[in-house]
Amino acid sequence: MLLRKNIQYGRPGSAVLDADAAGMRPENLVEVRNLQTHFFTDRGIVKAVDGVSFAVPKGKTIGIVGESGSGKSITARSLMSLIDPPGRIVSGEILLERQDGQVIDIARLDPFGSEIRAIRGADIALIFQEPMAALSPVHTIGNQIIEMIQIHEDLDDKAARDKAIEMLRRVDMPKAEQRIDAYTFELSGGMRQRAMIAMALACRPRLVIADEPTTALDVTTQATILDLLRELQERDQMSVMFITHDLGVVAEIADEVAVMYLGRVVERGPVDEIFEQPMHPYTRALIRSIPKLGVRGRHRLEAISGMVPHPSHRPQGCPFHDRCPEFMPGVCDRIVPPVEKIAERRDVSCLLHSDVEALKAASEQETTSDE
Amino acid sequence: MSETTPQTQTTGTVQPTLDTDELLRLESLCVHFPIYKGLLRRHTGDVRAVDDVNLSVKKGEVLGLVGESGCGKTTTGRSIVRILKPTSGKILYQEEQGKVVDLAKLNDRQLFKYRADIRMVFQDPFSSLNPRLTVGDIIGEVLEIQGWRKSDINDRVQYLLEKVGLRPEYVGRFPHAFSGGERQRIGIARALATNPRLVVADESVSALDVSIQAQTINLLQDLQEEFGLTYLFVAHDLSVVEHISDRVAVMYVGKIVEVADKDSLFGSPKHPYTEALLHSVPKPDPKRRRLVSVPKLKGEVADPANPPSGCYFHPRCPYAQDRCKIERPALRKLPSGHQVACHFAEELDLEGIPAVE
Repeated sequence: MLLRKNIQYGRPGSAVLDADAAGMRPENLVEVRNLQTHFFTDRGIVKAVDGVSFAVPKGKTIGIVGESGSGKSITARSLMSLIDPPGRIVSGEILLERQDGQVIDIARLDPFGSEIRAIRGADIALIFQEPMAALSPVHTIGNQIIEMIQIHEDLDDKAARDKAIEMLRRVDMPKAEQRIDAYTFELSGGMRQRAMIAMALACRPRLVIADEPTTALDVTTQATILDLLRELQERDQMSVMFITHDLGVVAEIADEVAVMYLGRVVERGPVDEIFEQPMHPYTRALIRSIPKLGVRGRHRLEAISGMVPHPSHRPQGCPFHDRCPEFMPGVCDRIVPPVEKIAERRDVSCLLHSDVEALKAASEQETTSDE
Repeated sequence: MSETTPQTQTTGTVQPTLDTDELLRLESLCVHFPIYKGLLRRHTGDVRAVDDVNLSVKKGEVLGLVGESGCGKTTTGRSIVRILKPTSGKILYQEEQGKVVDLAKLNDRQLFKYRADIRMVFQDPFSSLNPRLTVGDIIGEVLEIQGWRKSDINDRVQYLLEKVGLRPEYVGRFPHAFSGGERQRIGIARALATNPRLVVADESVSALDVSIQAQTINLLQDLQEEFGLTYLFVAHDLSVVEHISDRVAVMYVGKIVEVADKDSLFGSPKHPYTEALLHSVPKPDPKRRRLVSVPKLKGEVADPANPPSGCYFHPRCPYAQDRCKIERPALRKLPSGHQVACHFAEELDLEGIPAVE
């Protein structure tokens, strides 16, 4: 609480916007524009998310792919305004269309205020990677789901319990009437993840953020959980933001893909195009570096050299330039690539696809005017 | 295994033999963990983590070991390096000179010599390195124990660091200064320090990022070629196993259900469990997701403390018949060379993953 007095949380200006004034496209549920989430540590500023823009279309799944340190989880947490100090959303907009058609900018809300608490769980819900860490070990899964329902809906205990059982049934939890009184340690990994999905979906959110929900599971369990998510999405027409490092999972579940690297979206587009015609060298390298089922002869994988730099040591210019096979000296290490719109819902941020001469001239002009 | 011809030695013990191309053979290996219950800690049952496993590892090959979690892959790996003592069965190991020993019977002092021959690379690069030791000490510790001279150890450590792609100057650094991928390289250098013949890699690339995983797999392959290593590669990621292995064994609830060379196991599986596993893997190709033909595996891995009757897989098997509920299938060899534990291996027409160029 001491911290709260010193730091200004939430940014000035009204968070509630008119739908027209916000300029959101009608097919989108969420639009993230130039989001920056930084962590102010003793050792300097860590720009975990640095200028991320993407949109979540209504009733569709967007896959956010990236390695660790790419900022994909921080982006997801920013959407729920769940950034712990010393981090905070520095700039940008997170526009969410609410049930009543009102548009709200989450980035402007006080992360401790009542408005964001009304959104969490009801409009946006989060499914975590580790159900064991996200669920309470000393409460039954039923109690946790019921608590969640009663925060957002005015239901008595009996009605809330019935609703919790119904939710567990919907996620195909076997013997839901009995399992509602089970503790997490009594359930297997797959069932825990089902309980967590039931909890996330209890208030019929319009957007579900799934942060590596199947990474800790076996392939067989993963396959059933992915099927379940797809089925539930089709039934409820909700939007899903699916965060993963596994390209196979993305190919399986996503309609659109955003590829992240070092706090930026480097490429975005429909899933078929991303896999068939990747435009960013990082996306291409990522797709080539994974072993593919069916390729049998003995061969080497085309690994990406080096590793993801720490976000506090971000390279100058393009963040990927020091690992990039198509590095252009004097260009990529100087100019930060802008987001280039290639087609509707398809953009890439790489200087191979930009007008380098114009950018050079612009940056030179900037430096001379600085002097 | 009928190849085993007992020979009477001067000591009077029966000396087993292995084929010349075999490095290691598990014969009826069992690792059971007892369950104690109640006030008197009565022995009420066993978790049969590894139950009657027969498996041979050939010299210079990469043998992949796959299965869901709880199937006993790790326990098998750990008993081969003798972190665990098997409950019963044999771990026959053929030394360089052709002498065969049963590692399962040896005590710690007798095992000392073989600890240098069989080494392990662990899954988690964070918990498997002592944070208070420098990289040099981590890699050199085993050499010191094996009685190497100090100066030789230093040279060896420098050489190993170079081999795994780390700068030799890093020898004095502590593990926290390294990223996950680099730590895994340190773990690999430690495993290779004693010039081992067999390396058990237990999920060694599972915790790594996609781009780092590819680098590490390439490193493991290069080292294998250079030093003529044999790997037992335990993993749950089937695409990685297909990439790196020569032969693959599939485990289910403590038992081997199928063994075959990579091409035939992935191309034409003979056990329904293998088929189900193969088709659970997400394919990194959005077009192929619309071509789902094999039903997804429902249910969960059976409890190894209380396995089902008959074939352990029958409650989840889409092809199960009455016979499967009663009679437990033994691992048997098909004319094609496939080893499989299924009553209907010949009749079933199972779908594999077609090869792509």
